[in-house]
Order: sequence, then C-alpha cells, then structure tokens
Amino acid sequence: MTVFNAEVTPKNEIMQTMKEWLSESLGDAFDIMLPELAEMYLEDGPVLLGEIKSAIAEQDPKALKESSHALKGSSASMGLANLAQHCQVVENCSKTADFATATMKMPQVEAEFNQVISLFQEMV
Amino acid sequence: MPRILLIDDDRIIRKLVENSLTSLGYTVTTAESGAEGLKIVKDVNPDIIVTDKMMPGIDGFEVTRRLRREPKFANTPIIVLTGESDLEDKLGAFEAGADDYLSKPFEQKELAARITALLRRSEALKAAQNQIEENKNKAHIIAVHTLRGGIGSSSIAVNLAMALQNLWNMPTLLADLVMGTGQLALMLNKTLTTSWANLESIPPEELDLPSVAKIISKHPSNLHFIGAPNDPIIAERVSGETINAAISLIRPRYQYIVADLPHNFSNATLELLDIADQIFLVLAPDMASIRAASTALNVYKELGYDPEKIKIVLNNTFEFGAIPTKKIVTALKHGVILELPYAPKQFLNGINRGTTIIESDPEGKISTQFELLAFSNSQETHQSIPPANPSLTWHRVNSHLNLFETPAAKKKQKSRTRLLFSTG
Repeated sequence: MTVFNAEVTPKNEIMQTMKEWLSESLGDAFDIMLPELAEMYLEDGPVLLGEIKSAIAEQDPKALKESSHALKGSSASMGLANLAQHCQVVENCSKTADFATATMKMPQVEAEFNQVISLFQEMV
Repeated sequence: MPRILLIDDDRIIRKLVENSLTSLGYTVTTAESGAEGLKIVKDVNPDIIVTDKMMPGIDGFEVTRRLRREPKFANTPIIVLTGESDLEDKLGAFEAGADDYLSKPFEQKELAARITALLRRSEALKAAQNQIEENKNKAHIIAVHTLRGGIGSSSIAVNLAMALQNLWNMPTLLADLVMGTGQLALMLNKTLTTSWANLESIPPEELDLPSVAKIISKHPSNLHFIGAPNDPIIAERVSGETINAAISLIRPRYQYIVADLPHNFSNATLELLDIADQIFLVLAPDMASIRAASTALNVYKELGYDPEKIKIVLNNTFEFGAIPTKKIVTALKHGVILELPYAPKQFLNGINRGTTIIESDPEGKISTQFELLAFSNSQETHQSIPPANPSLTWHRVNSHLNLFETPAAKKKQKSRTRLLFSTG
C-alpha cells in the first residue's frame, strides 16, 4: 500500500516558487496581478476540491479526471508545483479508476491546498 | 494587430495568457468553453486560435475538428494546450487538425514564440494563396506585336483568339488595338457598330464596367471582341490610359485576352505590353522584318521584360527567297515558338470572307499549329487538368500531344491490346 506523507510545503517556499514561475510571464506586473490571481484561485479552488471529493465518494472516474485535472491546471499555472503534482497523482488514479489510492492521497492534497489557501487569504 | 482567440475553461490561465499576449501587442478575446469559442469565432475572426484540450462539454480536439470543417477557418493556425505530456495527446492534437500543441504548464514566452512562428507561416501562406487567387481572377493576356505591318500579325491574333475560345470554351476576348483600320472586325465578319472610339469622351478615371461592356461584341463562336475604329482621326483621340483602364476593368471577367497591338511603341502599346503575360513578336523572314524584330527585342529588354514572356512567331509570307529560320534565330538570339507555312490563299480567304482559318479549315495543318500554340500558351492550371467537358479542339490537341488518357483513348488502347493478344 502506498503511504503518502501529509507534510505541507512551507508558505515562504510556496511563495518563492510561485514568484519565480509567474515573474517569468508577468514581469513587473507580478506584484499587481498576484492578488487578483489569488482571489480567482480562492473562488475556484475550493469548488474544484469539492468536486474531487464528490467524484471519489461517487466513484466517478470521469468526474475525478476532470476535477483533478482542472485543479492541477490552475495550480500549475500559478506555480504551485507541489500541489499540482499531488493533483496529478489523483488524476492518474482516475485513469485506472483506482479510488483507493486517490482516497489515500487526498489528505496530502487537502493539506497542501489549505496551506495555499491560507497564504492567498493573507494576500487579498 | 493580430487577433487571438483563447479558449480555456480555467480563468487563471485565461488571465495569464491574455496579460502576456496583450503586452506583446496582440488583441486577445477569451472564451471559457468550447461552445462559447465556436459561437464567437466568426465575430472575432482570429488570426490564430489557442484552445485548451480538456474542457467540459466540447473539448479542444472537437473545437479544432469543427473549425477545420469550416472553409473560413480551414487554414487558421490552431494551438492546442494539452494538460498531459503523453504522446497520444500530442498526436491527437495533430490528428484533429491543430498546427501545434503546448503541454501545460507552459511558460508564456514559449506560447508567444509558437504564436509568432505560426503567424509568420500563416502570413506567408496567405500571401501565396492571395497571389494564386489574384492570378485565377485575371485573364491571361497575350499581346501580339510587330513593328512591321503587313506580315499577318492580325491574322495570327484572330486565329489564336479563336483557337483559345474553341479550346477551353471559357470567356475569351480579342482586342483590336491597331487603331484606324478596323481590320479584325473584317476578319470576324463583324460590322463595326462600336469600338474603342465610344470610350473616347469618358475620362479614364471615370470609366466603369457598363460603359466598357457596351463596346464588346460577340462572335457566333462566343469569342468576345472589341474593335478598333476605322477612322484614323477618331482613333487618334483614344488614349493609352483609356485602353489600360478599360482592360483593367474587364480583365477579371475573362480567362484570356488576346490583344492585337499597334506596330509601334505608342502609349497604348506600352500599356498593354506592360500587363501582358506573354508577348508574341511576329516577323517575316526578310531583312526589314528581322531588323524590326531586333529593335523590338532591344526595347523589351530595356523595359525590363522577362525574356520568358517573349515568344517569336515567324510567318513565312514569301514563297521564295526567305531567310532561313536558323539564321533568324542566330541573329535574334531568340528561339521561334511557331513557324507558319507559306499559305497566302488561306490567310487571304480568311480576310476576304470574314472567317478565320480555325473555322474554315479546322482539321488543317495551320489550324493545328494555332491550336497547339494556344494550348502551350494557356494558363498552367488549364493545361494541367483535363476539362470537365472537353471541346473538340481539346481532344485534337490531346491526341496530338498525348497528354491525358481519356475514356475514348483508353477504349482505343484496350481494343489495340485485345487485337495484339488475339493475333499473338
């Protein structure tokens, strides 16, 4: 059985990775745009996480693929590398309808997600 | 400013891409689903489309497939953003008709670079297509020219035009620009009711299609014709600008225009020579004619005409004493595309009876020469594809040149093969 470590990435590390990634495309606009992007994430992220949980509960591989893929995409675009990687594992589970592994992975996804949400809440 | 349509259900990605591309000078319109993208695409009329692959409802592959089915967007560059890095997804993008893909997450700089490259390619393609379209919509102009009159250049022009008309059954116009004689009308047995002179009172910039259409008459063969006035004084008043403006107006209406040019380098001549796709320089095998041809070739060279555009037609107007073709070719340093035999009776009969050699003796040697000349100087697109309803002339040319296997030719071949087997 795969055991996932529920340790979360420190906020300063998340911020650093995010800044490196987004500065690449936003340049000087990073400081101005980050709160706006964070706000979008705060609105959309919890909805997607809720959809992932429902898909696992309902054992719906298609819904799990769509929701985990969407959260992975938003997270990766923001430079939230670790959270995107966790979502990728869940998305992979959807392909084989491996709900057991997806369920095992969820605490790690949620912990990292909450850490990100907490960081974003401090910004807006 | 290039327009981009971005289709992605993730508004964070939309925001990031929009921000990045707008800062580079692109106009970005976003859609949050495949359905919305397809709904607004016509209004946006994008130069490039970027679509996410995985979206609820209509996904990026389906968006691409549907756009490719629409002629308007058949060639619009499309980039698919794939969330996965597996080969199947990438291949799927190309199978759907996309031009490129980009795996998420991607750096904005990479997307911008791919967009720039695709737009550059697309612009080049568009320019090439426009050129093809432009050429497709313009008549192929053949100017028949000589600096020495009386050597049959008008007969060559009228027979060539008739051969083109009969060969393709496509709109073909014969324009008589040898002002003051009205000779081609005579050769076509047409009463000169209208001519270039009817346009003389209209300033060139005010000419319109209806006024030019009024001076075009139709021969029973369907060949269209604009006559030259037979009064030299009236003819003087028709300017080169008027002729050029009129030809420009009617050029899109025809597939072929054969212009019989004045025997000089007047404004009217130069205007036509400039726009002609081919110049047939006519000469007879005598010293005066060769000198005149040499002068004409020098002027063409000075005017910067492509040597490929110039074709020499030799008309053997003498029974005896003609300068041999080889010597003419050496003197002019230019090959002869057509050498017409000494046939004064046929040419004279044509003029006197108002009928072309093509009509009076369609199976004769001279007609065949004109038909082959017409075919080999036709538009490449016409030469390369057999017509849907081939004319008798086309069949004759085809059997001479053995270019395409027609059902009739196949049948002939089959019966020949059968015969070979039965006798073998």
